[in-house]
Amino acid sequence: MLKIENLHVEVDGKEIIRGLDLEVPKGEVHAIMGPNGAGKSTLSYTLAGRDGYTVTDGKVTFRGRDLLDREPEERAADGLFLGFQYPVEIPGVATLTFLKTAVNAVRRQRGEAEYDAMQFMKLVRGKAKDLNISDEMLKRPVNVGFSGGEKKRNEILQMAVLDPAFCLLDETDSGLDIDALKVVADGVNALRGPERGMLIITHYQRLLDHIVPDRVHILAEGRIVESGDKDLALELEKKGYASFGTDRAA
Amino acid sequence: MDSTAEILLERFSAEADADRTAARDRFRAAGLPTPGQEAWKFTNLRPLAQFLDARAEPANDSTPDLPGRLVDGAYRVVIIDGRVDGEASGTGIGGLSLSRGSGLQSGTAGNRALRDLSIAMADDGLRIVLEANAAPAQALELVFIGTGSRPDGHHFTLEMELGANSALTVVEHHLGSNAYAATLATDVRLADGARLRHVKLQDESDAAFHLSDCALEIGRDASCERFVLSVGSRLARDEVHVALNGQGSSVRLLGAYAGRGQQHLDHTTHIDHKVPNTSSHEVYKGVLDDRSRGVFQGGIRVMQDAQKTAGHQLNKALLLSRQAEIDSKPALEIYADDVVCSHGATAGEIDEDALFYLRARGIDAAAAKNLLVQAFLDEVFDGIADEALRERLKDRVHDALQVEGSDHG
Amino acid sequence: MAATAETIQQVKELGDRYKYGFSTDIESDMAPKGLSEDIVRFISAKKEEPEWLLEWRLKAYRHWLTMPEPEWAFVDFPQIDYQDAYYYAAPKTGDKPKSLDEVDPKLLETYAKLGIPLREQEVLAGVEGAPKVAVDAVFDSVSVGTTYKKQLEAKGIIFCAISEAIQTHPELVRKYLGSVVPAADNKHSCLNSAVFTDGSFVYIPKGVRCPMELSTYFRINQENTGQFERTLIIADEGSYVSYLEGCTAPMRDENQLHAAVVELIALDDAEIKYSTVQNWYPGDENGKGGIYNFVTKRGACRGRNSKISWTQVETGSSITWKYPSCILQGDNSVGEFYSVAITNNRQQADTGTKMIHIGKNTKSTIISKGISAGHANQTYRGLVRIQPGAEGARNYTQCDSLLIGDKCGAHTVPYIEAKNSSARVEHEATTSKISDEQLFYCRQRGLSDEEAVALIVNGFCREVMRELPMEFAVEATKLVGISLEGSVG
Repeated sequence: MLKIENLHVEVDGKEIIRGLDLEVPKGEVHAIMGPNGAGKSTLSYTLAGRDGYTVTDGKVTFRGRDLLDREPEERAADGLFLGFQYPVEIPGVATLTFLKTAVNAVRRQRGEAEYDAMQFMKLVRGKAKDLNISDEMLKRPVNVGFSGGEKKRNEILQMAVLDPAFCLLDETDSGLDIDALKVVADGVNALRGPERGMLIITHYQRLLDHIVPDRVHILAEGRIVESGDKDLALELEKKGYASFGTDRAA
Repeated sequence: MDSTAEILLERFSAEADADRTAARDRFRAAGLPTPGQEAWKFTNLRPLAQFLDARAEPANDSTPDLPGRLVDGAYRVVIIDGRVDGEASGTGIGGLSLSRGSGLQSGTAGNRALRDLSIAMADDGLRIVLEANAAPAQALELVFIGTGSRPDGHHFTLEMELGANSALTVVEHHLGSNAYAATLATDVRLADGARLRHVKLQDESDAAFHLSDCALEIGRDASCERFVLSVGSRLARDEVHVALNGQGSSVRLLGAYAGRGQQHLDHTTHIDHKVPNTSSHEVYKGVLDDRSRGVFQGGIRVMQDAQKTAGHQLNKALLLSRQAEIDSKPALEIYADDVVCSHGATAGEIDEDALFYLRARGIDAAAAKNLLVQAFLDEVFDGIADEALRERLKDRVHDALQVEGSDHG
Repeated sequence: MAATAETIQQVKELGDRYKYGFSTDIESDMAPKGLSEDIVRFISAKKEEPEWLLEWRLKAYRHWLTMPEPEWAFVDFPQIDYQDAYYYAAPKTGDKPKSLDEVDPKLLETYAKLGIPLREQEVLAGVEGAPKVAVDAVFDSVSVGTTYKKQLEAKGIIFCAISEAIQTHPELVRKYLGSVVPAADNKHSCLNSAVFTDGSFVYIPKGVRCPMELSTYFRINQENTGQFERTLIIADEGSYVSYLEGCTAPMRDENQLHAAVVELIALDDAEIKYSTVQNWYPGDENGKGGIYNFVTKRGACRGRNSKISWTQVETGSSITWKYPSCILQGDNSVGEFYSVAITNNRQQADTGTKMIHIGKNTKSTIISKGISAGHANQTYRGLVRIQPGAEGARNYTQCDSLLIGDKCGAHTVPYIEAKNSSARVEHEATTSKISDEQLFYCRQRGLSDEEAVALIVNGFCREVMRELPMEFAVEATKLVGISLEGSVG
């Protein structure tokens, strides 16, 4: 579903991703773990198409099409969802308005009929309830004044409502206490399915106790240095990044 | 032309050079500024015109007493009624040279009549040059004394030139007795990496007019910190024009003022951000009692190329009496999009709740009021690095407010 | 679907960038070109005005000749040739229409295109339970019809063309006309006083709460005409009225002058809410054509506890010069100014407000949101003055500017004059751009650049938009997007 070949990415003239290969087939959940500065966020921003992340070499195919020459909103319409590590505040725009605008923008690009207010509310209410998101929170401006947990739950709500083919979750566990982590993990697990791929980027193993991955990859210095099954995460937890780090990557 | 301008130009020297003559002609054409001009909307110079018209008798020209130093151990130059007193050449301070004479040109200033007046009519001037990389520990203190011996106006020009990566502290202390009109035009040029600390205490005689215009040009990675405290004069205007010409340059303008009686205290600033990555920070706070009036005009202009600019200004005024007035115009003019600029202004009276709280703890009303006023102003004084200087300036403003404080109880 | 929303759809289908850029082919009855005492007399005679009003006009005209153009605003345009315009243009319909049925059907068609529910059934066709809106429409210089008249009359409310009010309620007009904006107030208001041709008149009697929104729709159609409408609204003791004003004009290469005067008077315990969506033709992307919108709007809170609230969404005109103001005379009176101004391409706007606090415990709030894009320049200019007698007065001002692109300018020029120590004045202003993070976040969720900008800008303007009546808010929200088309990418 997502295939990355020999990807090289520069930010401000500095190479961060240095020949990364990765393939996530549909129906599978993969995790990427790596120390600070390994290039985890660079990878997610590059896949989502953010300005300033220059691909100097390599290729990414998503659902059989070249991903890299497309605008961010086209990638979104194609079913690529990025859960942000730091969700952005948009003052004055109610969360509900934002969601509806996004859902209908995506549906329009896919050639589907836009939801009317009734259909949309029905859709959102159900999903919001599962994530313990109140009507009051939906009325508040996007992420403004939200706690860390609320922001992440809001990301998962958007994911559920937008119903993407592929979920890219960037450090979704950061800033969450254990209760919030469980709510978020349940939300993610509910979206697992044979048609959907997921790539979970995280620093710590603890998220993977709740979202059990099919494959685990270790990212260091811009490359995948080790891949394995879920036990790799436990091994990493014991030995630390040092044993997988620069020596073996070099 | 108007008669006031004519009086001010009466003593124009027949031997004046082309620059001075040009400045005279411009001033003559423009005349004394009036509230019809946007830059003078809130400050009417009519009292000055009346004072000049009345042709006050010169006060006895006696040698005045020198005040104590504001900065311990500072090298001092004394200027009496617009003339340097004695010799001011060698200072013995490494890298610093002083020379007399007025060579200020008005080319950089667009249409500032009083600046033209100072240049045309300067009786004397001082040029201060600091070599590159010099950073004397000793401060330079300029003491301006007005005696009233020349009530129809004394004028002075000041130039400061700081070489690359040099650093200097300059203190101006303006004081006097009797009635007079004093003008001062200043040009400051900071070469790349230079740092200037400029502190000004305006403590002129209560019958005096003080009109000062300072132009600052700041080069790459250079910085200026300016602090002004205004407590004196019947009518004073302290005007500062800053050009941030080099990337990485910055300016901090701090001001405090305490008005009482019928004083009119005007602080007008204009900051031009001309290149990317410059910053300005401005805080002015004033306390106004009796029938005094404060004016704050702040302008920040960000030119089209000046991306990544940070510009912030704040003006707060405390009105202590029903008749006091503050007029504030903090303007932003922005032509670049990648900027973070803000301004804020407030006007109001002492927080009654805080006053009551202090009194409930046994502090009498006058003392409580003083305490709150002092606390209000402290934020600005905290910007002065030299502790002894800071305390002296605080004492001065404290005294000024104390005197009037007793009128009200 | 609300009538206004429907209109948006209709005009969208017209396809052009400026959605109201059609002109109507109607024969006009016009005065000769140019301005003179004779033209002033001609207008007054056409309107069959009483002698005192002609004298008032002539006095204004003579004073106007002596006044210089105001030059303090940050706007730049060539000298206006006042002799090169028509000061009176009325749709030629023979005798005055006795009822709406006699109005030229082409005119009604124009208003239908604009979404002005001139005919009551069109309003009734709106969303169930939607408030009724009574409309007075001004076409070039003449009022062409007022809806819901009878229903309003039953409550004692007068809502009609000002030319009609001059005939039917001369005592009210004479008492209040020019009492808030004196003829000599400024060059543009002075011209208006001399040559105003029509506009709306509203009187809400004591204790009456106007049961529906009142609305005027202004449209400049004729080439080379100025539009000089005059609006006078009086809210008597304890009354309430909400008034909406909308404006459009066809696309023309020449600049057209619009110099209106609006006067509001609120007596004891009365409240007037005045909302404007100004969408005059802004000129093309090179700055050719467009309306000069030089408008004087001022409200007097004469009575105790009275309140006047201005809400404006300004997206049109090539040049806007406009400062809806409040004179807070009555003790405890309240003035509010909520403004969104959008300038794109070569548009220029110098707009803001004046809050003059005279009475005790008067309060004012100013929320201004300025958005500048393209090569446009925009200035917020506002005065807050606390007079010595305004014990306990309060003002809060917040003005935020948003820049889109690096060729535009956003300026803030507040004047704060506090002459009473018990008053409290607070002013805050910020200038920034739309952050790249916000844009990317929206695009990651599937929004296009333009959708993202429209969404973020609407969020930025929310505090103002929520002050608008429902029907207007829908239109205004869409206008934000339309006005910023082409500003990104």
